[in-house]
Amino acid sequence: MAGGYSGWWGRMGGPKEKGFITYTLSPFELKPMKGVLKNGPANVVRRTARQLPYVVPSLILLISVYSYGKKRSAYLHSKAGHAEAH
Amino acid sequence: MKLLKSNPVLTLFNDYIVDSPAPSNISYLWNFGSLLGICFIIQIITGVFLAMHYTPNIDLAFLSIEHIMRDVNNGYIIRYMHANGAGFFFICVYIHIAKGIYYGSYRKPRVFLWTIGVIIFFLMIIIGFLGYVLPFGQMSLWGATVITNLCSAIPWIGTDLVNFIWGNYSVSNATINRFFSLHYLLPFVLAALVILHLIGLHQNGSNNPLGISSNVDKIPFHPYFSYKDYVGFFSFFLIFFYFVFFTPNLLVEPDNYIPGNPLVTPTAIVPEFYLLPFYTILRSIPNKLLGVIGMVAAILIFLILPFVDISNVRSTQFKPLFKLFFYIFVVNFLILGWIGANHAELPFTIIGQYSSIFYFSYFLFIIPLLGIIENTFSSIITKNNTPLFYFLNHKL
Repeated sequence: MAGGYSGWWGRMGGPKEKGFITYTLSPFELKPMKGVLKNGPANVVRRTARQLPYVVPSLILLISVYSYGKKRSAYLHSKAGHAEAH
Repeated sequence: MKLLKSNPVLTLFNDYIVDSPAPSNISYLWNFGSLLGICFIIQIITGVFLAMHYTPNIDLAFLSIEHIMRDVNNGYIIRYMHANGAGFFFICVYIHIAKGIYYGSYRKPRVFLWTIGVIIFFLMIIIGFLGYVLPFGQMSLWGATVITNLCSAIPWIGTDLVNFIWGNYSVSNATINRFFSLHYLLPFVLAALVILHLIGLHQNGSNNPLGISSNVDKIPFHPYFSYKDYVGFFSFFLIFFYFVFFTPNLLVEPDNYIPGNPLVTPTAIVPEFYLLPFYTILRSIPNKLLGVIGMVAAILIFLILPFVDISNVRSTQFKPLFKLFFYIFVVNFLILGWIGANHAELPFTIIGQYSSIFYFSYFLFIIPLLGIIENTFSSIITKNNTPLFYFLNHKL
């Protein structure tokens, strides 16, 4: 089963596997919420801020196209707009 | 040996959603595949129950929907789930596709998976359209009239083909009957394609946010991603049932609560919100035949993505220019949808035309050009022979 690129367990197709160690952490050792209050907010702000330069230009484009369309449409439906069209 | 691993049927279940090796780093964006499965199951179950009470007859279709809404026990819930479920299905599929584009999931070796996905998307649009016609309200009738008439643009056989689809000389009883039949049948074809999509997925496993091979770090699907998917399911149902119970008609065109009347054309004929971007592309091209070709091409152009993206790097996380243009593409898609909801008049027509040009340019020119630019930069920086470059370039 599941041949192709990614193999099954033990023959994944990555570097040669050796020395398997299977281990689990006790639920008492796991700390899934560690630092969530102390570091969490700062991490969220930093990671979000890093994406802003990529997202903001397109958002500006969206808002400007939308407001241009709305304004221009309202104008073309006004008396002055009708006068301009004819 | 455990039954799960020896029984020929249970083995499939085990290989696909229990022991299946999954990259350890896939994010919540990878939930949308399973969410689409949930959407599909919702549509099948509610659809089967609706079919028990629906009558595909031109005189009774609208009344049978009202019967479902008023008389059938919980019929209004079933119908609102089916109607809103279609909308949610498409929202999920758009996010699923956007994720695929962002993380380069369409690239080698997952071209087969992507191709099946595009075919599924195309079939979903057809099924969605067929379903929208069934209540036979004003928008059903006129939507069906407009969309079926598109076939008349085909040279030579157009008119005959439209009459063949209608089974008459206009949208009529025969049309609604066959649309019901096909709306019931095609989801089973869709189910077969979904199975192909899953087979394609499990050939090479899931992509991951880094876009590099995850073969060195896999974890079993269950319990890690089965539980992660449940989080998605519950979030989905929270939003979905808010719509079903509190704003069930927000996504529906009010005109469709008026019985279909061939003598009265609505002031604006608009498709469901999820088809608006493609409707805009259709309307942006003045020539009828070219408009139809443009609309179909807008859906099928996703097929060329694996071939036009020549970048050395898969994930958009590491491609700044590509990322910038990805978000512009998303915004452009939203603008196309907004234009489709407006009347075909200035300035919306001209905005729609520019947006349509950008839509096609993105696939045909911008993606290849970005690949060339970013490959050049990465070659200069890495001088082509550093381990990092080799790692990124080597059989991703």
